[in-house]
Order: sequence, then structure tokens, then C-alpha cells
Amino acid sequence: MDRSQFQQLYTDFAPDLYRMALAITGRRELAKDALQETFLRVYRFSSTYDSNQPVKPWLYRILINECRRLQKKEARSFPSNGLEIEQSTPSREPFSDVMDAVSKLPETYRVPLLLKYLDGWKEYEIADLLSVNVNTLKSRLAKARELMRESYGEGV
Amino acid sequence: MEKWENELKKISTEQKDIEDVWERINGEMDRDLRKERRRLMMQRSWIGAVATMVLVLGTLIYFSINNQSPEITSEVPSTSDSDSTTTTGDDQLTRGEPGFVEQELTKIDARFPETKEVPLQIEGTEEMIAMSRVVPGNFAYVLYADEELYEISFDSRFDSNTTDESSASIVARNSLGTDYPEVKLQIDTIPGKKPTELASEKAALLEEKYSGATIDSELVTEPVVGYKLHAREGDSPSSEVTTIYVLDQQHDESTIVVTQTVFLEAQEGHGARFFSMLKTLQVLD
Repeated sequence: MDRSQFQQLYTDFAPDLYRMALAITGRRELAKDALQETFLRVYRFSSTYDSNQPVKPWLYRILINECRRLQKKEARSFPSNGLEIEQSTPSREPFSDVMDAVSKLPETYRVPLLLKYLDGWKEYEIADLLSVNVNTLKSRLAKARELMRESYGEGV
Repeated sequence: MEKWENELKKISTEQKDIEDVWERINGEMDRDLRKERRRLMMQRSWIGAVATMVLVLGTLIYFSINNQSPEITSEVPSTSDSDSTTTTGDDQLTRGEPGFVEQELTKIDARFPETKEVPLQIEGTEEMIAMSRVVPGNFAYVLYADEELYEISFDSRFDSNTTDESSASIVARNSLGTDYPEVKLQIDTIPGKKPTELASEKAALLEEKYSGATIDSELVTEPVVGYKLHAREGDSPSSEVTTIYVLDQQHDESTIVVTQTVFLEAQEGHGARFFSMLKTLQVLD
């Protein structure tokens, strides 16, 4: 992959991936680091990628792994009582409640919920990405919705 | 649709963050590229060392099989060398003859690769930069220049078949505009003048150009062997700084003069790059 192709890939996917990283980690700097590491991995290991496979699941798989790795790394450096939502960007403040509710979900429920409701992935695509059975995924999503309703409230 | 679902869909990100990350990725990719260049350079040196060892071992084995000492056999090639030199000397084309340019290019190709990794020392660190071969039409010298950062051009008035006079320019691609002087390395081949004569002429020109400024002159061995003249316009960051090198070694009866122009603030960066390029300069016979 040459540099111009790589830049095009970044332009096409970075906004959605960054939004996903932000929703998973709940922190802007951590999300930026995850996005950077994801694309650097893609650039460095593009030769190992099978070009017959769709690129989107590959990118998301790397991103989710990077988010996990960075969160664990940070938890080791700064032990805290859970994720903190950054309030530094005024435009994000209206969403801090929903982000707070998402951040309280266990990761098993958080990632499938975000993929489905934030990015609009189909259930079979999520199951494939996370290497779980579709029925397992459905039950995880049901549990995730239930937990969200509990912490965020029902209705429109 | 549930309330949280609605809110979730409204989450947006800032374009600036995405651009920041791209800048960081770009920086990392540049660092990767430099590391790769260094690795390739090391690999080449290693291959070269192995090839030399194989050659030495091969020579030793050859002599031991033939039971002859290298001293005795070396006399044979030296005789044949002189014979072949005489033969090729007779075949040498001179300037103006058809095929002269091709003949000179073939000789240069055999001695100097088209690109080469050149060490650049900047801000206390050394890195290897891929540089391209520069040969003027009069075949007076060879040097390597960083084509990525500098544009290389030759004076069109030059005719390789009829004259020794030539001028090559290596100009920085990223000009800072009219407030700053052009960053440039100009290499002139001047026929019929001795280095001492040209050094005096150039010193006088510098005195005229920067009236009141001190002209430093000294004999140097780096980046080239010859006279170095140095003067600057003033002390502001955009002040023009000129360094002239008059090479001691001549090509035929022509003298090679290098004029380096930078501005004070760019001395470290461009100055170091020009120094690296000039260290590769070799006057051809």
C-alpha cells in the first residue's frame, strides 16, 4: 500500500473509527492514541492483509484490540474507579450522559451495542467480527439494552 | 427508538482531532522510512564486507593451488594493464567527436551509482539520506544531491561538445518567499583560470556585495579541498550568508567554484545538507 492509498483509507474510515474509539474508551486522548496505533499497524502490516477480504472488519478488529490494550495499559499506570468522560469539548457535553451510561457497561456488552447502534452494523457482521455465535450476540445485545435502559431511562 | 439510542446516534467527533492524528501518523511514517534506509545501508555494508572476504579467500585459494606468490603474479597484470591502457588510450574519443558523451557516461556509470546513501549530520545526530548523482555536461565532477528537497538544474548555454564552461544549481524546493534569500548551491566550472586567481576575484566580489562586512578566508580540507571564503549580510535571521569554495583540484585547466547561499537561520539545516552533498564531490580527470 503506497502513501496516497493509505491516506485515502484514512480519509474514508478515520471519522467513524475515531467516533467508535471515543465511545469505547470515553476519553478523547485515549481515542486519538487508539486511532493512531490502528492506522500505524495497518500501514506497517498491510503486506500481510488479504486484499480479497473486506477492509472494514479488519480495521475495526484492530481498533477494538487497540482500545482494550490502551485501557489496560492506562489502568495499570493510573488505577481509578472506572472511566472518566472528558468534558473539555463543549460540543460533546450534551452526550456525556449517554457516554457515561455506555462506559458503565461491561466490555462484553459495550462493544456489540456500539457497533450496532452507533455504527449500524448488522448482527451477523458483529458476530463475525467478535468471533461469537449470532445467538450469543443477540443475548448480549438484549442484556446491553436492558442495562442502558436501567441507567439512562426508557422512552424517547 | 429508545432515548439512549437517539442520543448515541448524535455523538460526533471533531475534525481537528482526526487531522491531529494524521499529523502524528505522518511523523511516525517518516521515522519508519528513515529507519528502513539505515537498515538497508547497514545491510549493504554487511554484504560488501562478506563479498570482500569471499574475494580475499578466493584469491588466497587460487594462489595456493597454483603454488605462486601474489607478488610474482601481480607483475603480469601490471604489464597487461599498461598494454590495455595504451590500447584504450588510443581508442579514447575526444570532446567534439561523435560518441564522446556516451563514452564518458559509460565510464561514470561504472564508477558512480545513480543513487547513494549519504551520511547527513544534523543537530548532533547522523542519518543516511538517499541522494542522486549529479554530473554536469562537461564531466568535470560528480556529486550527490538530495533531489527530494532540492531542485537540480544546469545552465542551458552549455554545450558539452564544444566548451568546458558549465554551471549547475541546486536550489531548495521550499522557498520562504521574497523576505528570505534563495537557498542555493551553485557550481561553476571556469576555464583558463587558476584557483588562486579565482579566490582573489571572488573575495573582491564578496567585499563589494557585502560592503563593510568581514570576509573570512581560509584553506580547508572539508567539505572540499581548497579556498573557503565566507561573509554574511547582517545578524537578522533572514540575513544572507554566502560561502564560496574554490577547489584546489582542477579539471583539465578549469577551476571549479562552489557558491553556497543560505540565510542565517537556515545555516544549521540547509548548511548541513549542503556540507554533506559537497563532501561527495569528486573532480574527474
